[in-house]
Amino acid sequence: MKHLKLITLSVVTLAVTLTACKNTITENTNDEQDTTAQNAVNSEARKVFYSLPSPMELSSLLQKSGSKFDKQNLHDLKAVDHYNTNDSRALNLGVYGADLSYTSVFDQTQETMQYLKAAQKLSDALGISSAFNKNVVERIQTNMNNKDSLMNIISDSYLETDAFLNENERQNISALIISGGWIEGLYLSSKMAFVAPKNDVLLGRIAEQKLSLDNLLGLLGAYQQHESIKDLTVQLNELKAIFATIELASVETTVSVDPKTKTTTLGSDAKTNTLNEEQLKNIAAKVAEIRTSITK
Amino acid sequence: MKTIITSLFTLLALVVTIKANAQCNNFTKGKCVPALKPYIHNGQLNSTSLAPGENAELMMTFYAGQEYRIFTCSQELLGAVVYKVFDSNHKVVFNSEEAKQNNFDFNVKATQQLYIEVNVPKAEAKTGIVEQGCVAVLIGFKK
Repeated sequence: MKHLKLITLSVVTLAVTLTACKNTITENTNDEQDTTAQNAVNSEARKVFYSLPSPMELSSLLQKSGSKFDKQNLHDLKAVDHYNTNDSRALNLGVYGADLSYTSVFDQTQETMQYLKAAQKLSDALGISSAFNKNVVERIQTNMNNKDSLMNIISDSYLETDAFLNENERQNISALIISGGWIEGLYLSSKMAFVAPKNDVLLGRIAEQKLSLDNLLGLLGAYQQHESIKDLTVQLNELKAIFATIELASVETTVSVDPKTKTTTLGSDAKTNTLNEEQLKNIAAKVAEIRTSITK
Repeated sequence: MKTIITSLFTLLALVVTIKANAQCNNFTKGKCVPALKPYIHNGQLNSTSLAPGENAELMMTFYAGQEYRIFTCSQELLGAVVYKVFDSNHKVVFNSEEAKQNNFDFNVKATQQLYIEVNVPKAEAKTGIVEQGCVAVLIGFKK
């Protein structure tokens, strides 16, 4: 009888644990207006992912906008040893990782190696030794002059980090790394925009971060039980209030396929997005404030 | 004694969960990520275990002037997993079932938010046990 109780207990525990794990990314989509059978089907458990462009893509967008590299804007390398909590390490791994992407996209060999080492230190401190290990460092050194390979290797390290943290039920740490990377990307963009105030492409890219900020807040929404994520969300909501003053062009999507190349284009005649001087100033000030609170 | 045993079983359950996550991640890294090439993935492993009849949704901003690949892959036991891509007006811009392919390669003319909805077909449970399988949604871009 005692054994039966233990077996029952173990099965229940297992079920509860598995369910708890599953629900971290499950949203209840019940809608009071749902009346049809089809809608009933759709109201079943739904898993929602909020994805963000990687720091590598953001850096690539900055380069395409014709922005100039400025190493003065990067995070201080000496600060890497100051972070002694997992949350601060995760946020700053995101920051240094974005700087690593930025330096590699802009072909800054020496800085790429320095920021790689900083990312490696924080990654090790977080117990993610597989992400920026000796093998990755060697591959980066070997492919320093091959940008495509370099971008792939660094992206692989991000993927490895995300996979490791997911496997170990540390998705909140992953969310902090993604947040740190996005904040640093916006910080670098706003710094560049002050140097080139007539760069319409760059201004457009900054304005469009309004959409990615919504996705980031959606991602962080699942981890509000963690104090540092809750605090970061408050700060990001203040940034969201500034972005709310920007009106993005409405997009009417058309789909066309080039018969020769078979390439699909999602077209739209929407006008180019932009932001005015005051909006840029406010975004830059707020993102600098958030970054300081992370990197201090 | 009872507390120790309960803790041990909780630990066992956690180990099982971690093992299941690891299997899904390994499937995604081994079978799905390579199919994104020559696009560079965005570093986020959007994979999860789904049961027949369940669905997942992914939201992301796609930037003007960029080339992207959206790719989904799933374990065979789930059957023909399909997905649709919607724009912000909920207009379907891609349907994998109609296109009969799992990858959607496209250029973006105007920056926009897209929603990807992945559906696992319903299946009758032969054994009474609902089998879950791994589903991954991956996004890649070109330099």
